[in-house]
Amino acid sequence: MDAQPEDSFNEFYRSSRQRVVTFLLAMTGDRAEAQDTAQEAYVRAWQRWSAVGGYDDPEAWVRTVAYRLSISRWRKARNRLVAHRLYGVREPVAPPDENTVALVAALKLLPEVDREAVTLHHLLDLSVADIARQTGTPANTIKARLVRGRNRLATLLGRDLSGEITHA
Amino acid sequence: MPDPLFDSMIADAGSVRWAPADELRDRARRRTRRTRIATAAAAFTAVAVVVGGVAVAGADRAAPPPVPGGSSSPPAASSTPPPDSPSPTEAPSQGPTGAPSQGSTGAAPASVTAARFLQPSDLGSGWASTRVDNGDGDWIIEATFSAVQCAGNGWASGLTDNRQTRDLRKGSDSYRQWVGLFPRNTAAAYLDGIRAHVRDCDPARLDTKVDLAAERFAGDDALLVDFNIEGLSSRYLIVRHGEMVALIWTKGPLPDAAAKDLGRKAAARLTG
Repeated sequence: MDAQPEDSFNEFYRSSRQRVVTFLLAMTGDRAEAQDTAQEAYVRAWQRWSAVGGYDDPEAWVRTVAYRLSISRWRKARNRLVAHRLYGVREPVAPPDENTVALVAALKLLPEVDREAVTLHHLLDLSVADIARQTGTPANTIKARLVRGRNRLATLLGRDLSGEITHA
Repeated sequence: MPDPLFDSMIADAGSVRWAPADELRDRARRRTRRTRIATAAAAFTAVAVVVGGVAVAGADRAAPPPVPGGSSSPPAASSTPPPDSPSPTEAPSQGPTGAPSQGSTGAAPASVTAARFLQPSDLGSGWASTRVDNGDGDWIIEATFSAVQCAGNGWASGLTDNRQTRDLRKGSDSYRQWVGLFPRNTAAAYLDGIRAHVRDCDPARLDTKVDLAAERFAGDDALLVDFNIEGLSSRYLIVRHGEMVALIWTKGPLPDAAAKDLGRKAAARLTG
C-alpha cells in the first residue's frame, strides 16, 4: 500500500529542509530570510504535492521556488528592516559564526550565476550535469562559472575549495 | 560531501526553528480555500455582469429616451454602510466644495489642524501632545503591511499626502496619530481597502497574523486592526468622518472597549 501523502511530505520536509535553507543562506546571506522563504516554498509544495511529490527531484523544485521568493519584490531587505524597526527581535538569536560571516561576504561578491554554481556544486554536492539540467545551462558554462567562482573565493578567503570539478 | 568551507554555514543553518509540517499543511489548506472562494466569487460576478447586462439591454429597449441635458447617474456609494447613516429625510452633508460628501454623517472640516487630533484631555491627566514634523515612516499601516509581506498583494492604499502627525505621550505610554484629508470620495475607499487587505492577507511568515478586531464602531466608519509579528503585537485604530480620516497606532496594551472609546473620541474630534 502506498504511503499517505502526509507521510511522504513529512519525510520530504524533514529530510530536505536543512539543505534547502543552507543553500538559501549561501545565496542570500540572511538566515531569517532563508527560513521564511524555505517554509513558504514548502507550503506551496504541499498545495501541489500530488504533482511535486512525483517529481524526480522535488527538493530542486522547493529550492527554486524559495530562491525566487527570496529575490521577489516582496522579499526585499527593506521589509525585514521595517519589521526590525517596528518590532525588534523577539528573542536573542545566536550570531553567525565568523567563518560564516566571511563566507557570506565573499559569496556576495560573486556574480549570482557563479555563486549559484559554487553553492550547488560545493555545498549540495550536485554534479555539473545536474546543475546544467536544473538551471538550463550548458555544462561547459557551468564549469566555467565554477572555475571562476572558486578562483574568486580563493582570493577572497585565502583558501581553496577542496576537490576538483568532478562527476560532470 | 559538502566542502568543509561550508561547515560553519551548515551549522548556522541548523539553528533554524522549523514550523511543524502540520502547520504548513494547515496554512496551505487555508490558502487553497480562500483561492477557491475568490474564484467562485469572481465567476459569480462574471455571471451577474452578463445577466445584468442582458437585463439592462432589455430595459433600455423599453425605457423612454433620455432627457436632453439630464445628468448621469451618481457613482455608486461605498459598499461599506456607515453605522449611523443619515435617515432618508436628512439632507446630504456638504463637503468643502459644496458637493455631497459620500457616506458622511456631517460636514467635514476643510483642513487638518491640531484641533482635529485627539487632545490630551481625551486620554486623562498627564498626557501631552506634540507635533511630528516628518510623520512618514515605518509606523504607518502601509509599512506594517509591507513588513508582514502578505502573499500575492500589490496594494496601493491611496493614502493622502494631505495629513499631519502628532504624538501623545504620558511616561512610557504613547500613541501616534495622523489625521488626513482625502480627495473627494476616496476616504471611504481607503478604509475599505484596508478592510479587504486584512481579509485577504496571507502573511509570508508563519508566526505573523493580521486581524480585524472590530469595525464600524465610530464615525462614518472605523476599523481596529491587530498585527502580531513574531509574537509582538500592535494595534491600529482608523476612523473616518466624511473625507477626514484619523489613524492611531499603539504598541501598548489597548483593550477592545478602550480602543472603541478612543475611536469615538477621535471621530468626534474629526467632526470639528
